[in-house]
Amino acid sequence: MSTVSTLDDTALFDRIRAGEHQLIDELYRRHRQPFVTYATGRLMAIEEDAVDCFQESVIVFYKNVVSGKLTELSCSISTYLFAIGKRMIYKKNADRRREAPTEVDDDRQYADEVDMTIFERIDDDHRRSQMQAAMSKLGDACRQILTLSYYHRYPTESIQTTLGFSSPGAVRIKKMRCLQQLKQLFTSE
Amino acid sequence: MEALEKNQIDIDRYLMGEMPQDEAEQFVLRMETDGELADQLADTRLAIDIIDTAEDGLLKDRLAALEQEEFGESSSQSPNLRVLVNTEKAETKKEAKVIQMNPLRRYFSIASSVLLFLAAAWFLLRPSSLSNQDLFAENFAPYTNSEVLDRGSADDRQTAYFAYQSGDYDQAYELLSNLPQEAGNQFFTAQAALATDRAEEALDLLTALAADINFPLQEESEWHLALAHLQLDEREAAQAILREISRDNTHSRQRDATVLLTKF
Repeated sequence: MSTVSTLDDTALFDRIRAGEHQLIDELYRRHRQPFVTYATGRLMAIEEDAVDCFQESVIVFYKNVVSGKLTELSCSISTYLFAIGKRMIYKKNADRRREAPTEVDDDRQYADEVDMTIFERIDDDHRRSQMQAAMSKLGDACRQILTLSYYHRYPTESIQTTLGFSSPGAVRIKKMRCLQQLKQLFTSE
Repeated sequence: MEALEKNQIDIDRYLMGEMPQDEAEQFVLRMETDGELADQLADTRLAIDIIDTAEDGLLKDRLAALEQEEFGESSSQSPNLRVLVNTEKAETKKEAKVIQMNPLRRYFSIASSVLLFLAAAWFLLRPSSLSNQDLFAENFAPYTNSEVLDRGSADDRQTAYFAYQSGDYDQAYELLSNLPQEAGNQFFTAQAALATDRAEEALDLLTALAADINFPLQEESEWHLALAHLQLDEREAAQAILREISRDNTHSRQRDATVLLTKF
């Protein structure tokens, strides 16, 4: 049997898709340095952005695999990651150019100069941390059932087997209760 | 509870894209009159958002930990080092001195700046005499394939991509053309074709790839499709595609397309 480091792209993809989620680490190790070198050398990204964008592109790739949006590889994993990562770098570079400090006249209206996306981002960050806090307060059973259902898109029958429910109906009722609980936790944050 | 349960099944199918088109349309109409259903859908959307955010956050933390563990030293400077570097810069700044310029040298300096400006203006504003082939050559660079390959492998795919990475585009074109007709292979076949004056072949491949919105290199395919038209001296077709790209603010080649359009 091949070791993890010798797995080719298709095998790695198939095994991540089959549920070996820890293999995402191998994928990260394999493609991280070439991407960072490329992004800093050719796309003029700073290293911090290159690493961040690479992590985001791995997350997008992983989400597409586990959600079933990506069912087969139409190009190498590296091509896929580079394509996503590149777009993110372009956006980061554009944001950085917008944020670059400029010398302004004291009499000018500072409000006109403010990039409103910064405030939107702060709002987003705040909402994101509220969401993460709500999710962390949810019990294990609820967290599992909702994650399997909506993130990994398991069919109800598979959730029943995986989590040991008595029937698909029991899974559905539990899921609805968990949804309500999650909403309450979020609104109370 | 039964009605809510039934609604939840429909909502899940709708949100997961599992509902046929006509049923989805009916479902949307139903929501306009059924406020409870609309609320339940909004709650589910919110929950999915929360779950996605939380799971993404966990994965991001995991990757950040891996980054720190395995690439920590090279990936970022420690805060202390950053302070040190900034202090050094500050010190350098402090030592800078203002040297007064001799008045005669100042006049020469102004005159040479004006001349330089005029020369640059002439260079930028002169009518373009670049041919389609010049513009193609100026803008085309085979897309980087960064895959880690096994140099000695006898595998057809590895051999084909190794030829591509080595810059042997003639051989790469032959070998890539014989690989399974997957989008990724087709894209690099088209790249090798453009690199070896086979624009017709590239055009066929890129036309299909540029229309495939699920292909991660769809935007690159559009850009190279415009270049393929240029190589074929089909300037109007190239311009039409470039105009589309330059209008799209999220397109990764927007800037390249806009610059190229100014050169026609």
